[in-house]
Amino acid sequence: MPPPDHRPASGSGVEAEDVETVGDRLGPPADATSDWLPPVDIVDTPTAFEITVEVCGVPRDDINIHLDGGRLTVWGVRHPGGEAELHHYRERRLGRFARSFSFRTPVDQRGIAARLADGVLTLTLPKQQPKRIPLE
Amino acid sequence: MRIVWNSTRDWLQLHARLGRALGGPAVRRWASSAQRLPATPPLDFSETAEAFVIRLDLPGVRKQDLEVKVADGLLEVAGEVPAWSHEDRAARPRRLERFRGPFRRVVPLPRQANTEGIRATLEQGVLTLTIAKGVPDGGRKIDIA
Repeated sequence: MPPPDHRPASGSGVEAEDVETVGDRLGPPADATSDWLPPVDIVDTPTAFEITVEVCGVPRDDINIHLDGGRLTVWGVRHPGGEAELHHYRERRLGRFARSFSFRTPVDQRGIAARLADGVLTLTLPKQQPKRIPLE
Repeated sequence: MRIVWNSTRDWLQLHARLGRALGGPAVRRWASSAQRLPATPPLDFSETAEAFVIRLDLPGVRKQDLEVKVADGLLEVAGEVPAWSHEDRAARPRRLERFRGPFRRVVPLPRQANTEGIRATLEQGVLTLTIAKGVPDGGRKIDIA
């Protein structure tokens, strides 16, 4: 499996990588491949990056968010539901999913907030404010 | 010769045919928002002993932006995801992959479906429609006079 593509951020300061392999340090097994890539939006505001990920039907406990170095990964497994039913027709994406994001603009790691509503995961990553070092 | 009546197979064939005529999966998918025609969100169809179950992925769609109708044996789910906007005027979208625009899905219901008994729930972005079975599938024996 080739390593994830680190595409140039084209000045946006954040870039989504369409990961196929998620590094073992991030949580899932090293050979975990994603079966599908949930669509994401990335919005850049003066104070934060806002990332929304479509994870409809995935229970809260099955969504994992990992931050390692400058890389944020959202991953999990989507189960079909209705196991006892006789399935005739299936179009919805199922199985393992993962998306990773890296940032050029430093983010305040402790200030990251995650919210799940209507099957959409919203991550808010505050931008690190430049620190002024006073001269003594 | 024995002819096996398979209502599910017939339903699926009808679904495929009507789907093509009405803009179903054979024509366009949920993500194809480039065109002005409504998109078709992904759908699963299953059944239990008592009911048919239809699930549609509608991430971020709120109840008030969604309409479910049934008429002439056709179930219609339609709505619209509003265009991207942000309360902060200085906000800039860097990547927008999520679907926005009108969507519509028409599903021909199996003959057994009892359209009086449809229950709809919208949870975690998944619309689940449970349609009670009204007529038993066992067929009917016709006595020869």
